[in-house]
Amino acid sequence: MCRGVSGLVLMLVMAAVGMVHAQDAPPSNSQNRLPFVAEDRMTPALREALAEYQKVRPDGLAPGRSGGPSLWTVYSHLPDILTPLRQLHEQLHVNPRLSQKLIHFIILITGRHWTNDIWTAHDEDGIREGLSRETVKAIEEGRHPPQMPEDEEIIYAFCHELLTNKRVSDATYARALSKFGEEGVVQTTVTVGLYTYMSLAVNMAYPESAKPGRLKSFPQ
Amino acid sequence: MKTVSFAVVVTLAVLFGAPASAQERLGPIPPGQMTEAQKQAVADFTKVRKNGPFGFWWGYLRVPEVTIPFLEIQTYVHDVLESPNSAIGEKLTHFAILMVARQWTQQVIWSLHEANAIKSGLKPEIVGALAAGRRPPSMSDDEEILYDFCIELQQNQSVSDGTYARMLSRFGEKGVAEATLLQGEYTLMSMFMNVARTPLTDPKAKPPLSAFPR
Repeated sequence: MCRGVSGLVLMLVMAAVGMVHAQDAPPSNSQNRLPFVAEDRMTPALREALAEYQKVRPDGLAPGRSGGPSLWTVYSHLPDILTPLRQLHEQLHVNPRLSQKLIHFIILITGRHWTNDIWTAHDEDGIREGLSRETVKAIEEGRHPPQMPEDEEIIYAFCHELLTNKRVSDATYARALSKFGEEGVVQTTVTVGLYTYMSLAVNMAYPESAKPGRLKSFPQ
Repeated sequence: MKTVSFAVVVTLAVLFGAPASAQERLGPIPPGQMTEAQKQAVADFTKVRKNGPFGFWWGYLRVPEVTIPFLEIQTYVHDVLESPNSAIGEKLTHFAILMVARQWTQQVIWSLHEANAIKSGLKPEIVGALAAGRRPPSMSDDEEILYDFCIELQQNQSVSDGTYARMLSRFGEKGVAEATLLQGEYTLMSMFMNVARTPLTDPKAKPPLSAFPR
């Protein structure tokens, strides 16, 4: 459902800049500097990685379907990377060491930091899993969310320190360790890292003129 | 048990002002404390890297199923990107990695790539300028194109049209993807190693990078 929302956002963006595409046509370059590798230029390595991808996520982010760049469109040019990246993302769905609520929370904090529109794929999911609307709104606006329960507060502090100070203080680390264990700490750090990876790739692939979506850049 | 005792140690250290901040946080796991999944991940790792896990790899092993995917990406960087088989080549791969290490003041990554960067042709004065936080002087055209691409992506979180066009023109779509991969991968690794406080390979060595501001 949320991928449909992000797809809708991107389609609206494209319509707003005067682009209209037939349902099946590959997306044009205006909204994507690095489109998916064309069918006739696909290497065997890429076909194999794609086949594996489709097996595991038949309804997932099909490369290029939404029209805008994705992690998969960028890295279709480096097919040896596709399968390990997919496996890393899968881990967050299959056996995360934190609740789904907290996984979405980490992704929202990370997406906000890089002003990346992956945000719109996770805000409603996060709310459905238990984040309050006030908390999500605060993240969008760059504010410290008020009245977070303890688990969210620790995760917020950990992620915010890591992204802002590039370190996590002893006090915050100790709280995270005590609450979530070493595997929770590793899960948090890897999730921030993975969504940074995604944000950098997607941000890079948008041309200057394109407005990626709802999340406003700072400062305003 | 280990988790609770570690938290107690850190809390006491913080309370009594002991230098706990220098301590590695996610170090080696004693074999007797490894789960089956961790033992399997260590075995799979050792098939590829004969000396087994070291340094930050122990951190990943806390969530064992991420270990081998990360190893595959790292193997790609070392075997393909740091070779003539990549679009950007070995020298620029090290250059891109050093830029990320400087951005995150990541001492271990910097130490591991500085020597090879110079060996593969990056001038010492360029490396020195990067360490000092200055725009490197007298870069070749290739070096400058890569530098602008990476620095904009790091600092602005996006790449301007002119810089992108030059990068695409010189290195093609593959080169663009490679440079982007290095930014993503080494930012993730820098974050992880900063959290884990991974020590330098030579514990007596002086950390090469100063923190900013100075």
